[in-house]
Amino acid sequence: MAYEDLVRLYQAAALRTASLILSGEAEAEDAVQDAFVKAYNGLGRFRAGASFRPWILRIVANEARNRRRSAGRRVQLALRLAEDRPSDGAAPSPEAAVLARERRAALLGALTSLSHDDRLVLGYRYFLELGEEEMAEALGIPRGTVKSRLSRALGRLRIQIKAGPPITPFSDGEVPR
Amino acid sequence: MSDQRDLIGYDLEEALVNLGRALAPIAAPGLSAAVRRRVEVLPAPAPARPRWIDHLMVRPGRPLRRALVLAVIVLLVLAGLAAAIGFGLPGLRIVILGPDTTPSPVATATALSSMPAGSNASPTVAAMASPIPSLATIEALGLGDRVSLAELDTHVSYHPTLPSLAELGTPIGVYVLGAPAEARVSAAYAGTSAFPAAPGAPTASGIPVAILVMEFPGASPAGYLEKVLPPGTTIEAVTVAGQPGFWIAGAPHDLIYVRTDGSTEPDTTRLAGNVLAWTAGSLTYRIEGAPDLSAAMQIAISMY
Repeated sequence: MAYEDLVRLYQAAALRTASLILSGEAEAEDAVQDAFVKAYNGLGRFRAGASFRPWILRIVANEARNRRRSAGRRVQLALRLAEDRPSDGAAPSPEAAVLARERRAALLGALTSLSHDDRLVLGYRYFLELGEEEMAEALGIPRGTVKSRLSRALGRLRIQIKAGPPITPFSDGEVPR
Repeated sequence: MSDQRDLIGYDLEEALVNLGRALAPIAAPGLSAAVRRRVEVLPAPAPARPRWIDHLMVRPGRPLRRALVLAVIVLLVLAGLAAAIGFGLPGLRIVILGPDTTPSPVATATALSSMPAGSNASPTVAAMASPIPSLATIEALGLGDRVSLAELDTHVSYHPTLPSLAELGTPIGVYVLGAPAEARVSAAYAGTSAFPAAPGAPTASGIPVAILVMEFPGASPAGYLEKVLPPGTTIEAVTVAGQPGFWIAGAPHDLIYVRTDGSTEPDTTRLAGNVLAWTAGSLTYRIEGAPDLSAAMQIAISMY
């Protein structure tokens, strides 16, 4: 097993994490690359048998935070919508597809206006779909505080949504179950 | 996921999940190779330290003699441990040995004897040290009670699925281990021309077993499978019908079934070194014994 295989396994989650904090995909990729090298050096601190994912995500998030701090500017996130959303079943009409895209863009805009800590909490939960325990490890916080952190971040996102341009409600059928 | 609609007029949590799925993936095709090139020039990382070693570590103020004894134990254990790092799917934990892994039997035996009760990290060491036994029958592999295919559903509270691939036929043995909600189902298939049994493969009803399909609830409190990969084994991230999984190929590897209370049960299932494991919903699936990834995929896809 080469370390490279491990990188391949977790790079998508790592890049998504970096993109919650940094602007530009190249910057996110650089941060992730550095984070994996740091993780390699720190493998001795990794608890064998523990889950690797939250451990590497925590290193990635720290690396991205440090880079952002040194950049010292407001960033446009590296997060962007896919050109064509993969089909989730029934193909939507062109109008519905445009509408759905606009709604997502507005939600993404609201998310971008949050602090990166809030974005990390929300991104871990809803984009990477981490469980409570993994979130706690990835965020470096006690497990008991994950729910309240998430709830506060959601609250602030709601405020941003209300402050921003109106978003047409999603229809139930849009979310694949 | 909450079904409640927010004051903003829609379910925000649902919308965020939806948004996450609509985000463009960041293509970084050269990332893993770039990391490899950078770590290649670095010294090998220090061995990983299982959690239970933390309990053994010397703390300031402890008597010197105890400190020395503990230090010797820790050194012996570390000598036998590789740079082990673990990752996995729900229900399946995979421990990978580092490139410079050469566990010595003496060191691993020491580690085994010093294993504290309830530890869930030390079974790794046990598995590394255990020789591959030659087991005559599949029943001896601890797969559970043999049940008929017709009554399988009555033993399991979820709906187990089995391959429908014609080349594989019907299983020559179906086994259930554990309570219905967390039962592990194993189905053994006889060797065929498409899927020949490995030399010395265990038998079911006197017939050599070529393929073993297992499934179990991944989020089950019953535990997870811990897999130890020796040098010479490769692991590859794969997608099975859109679900994340691993293809583990190469040298035979041992399995340990670990319960949540930390107790372990050796799971000596092994037909060959090749395993395709993936999760779908709350279940984890494993196909063992396929000659190559495409054959394993054929079997896996036929389960859908």
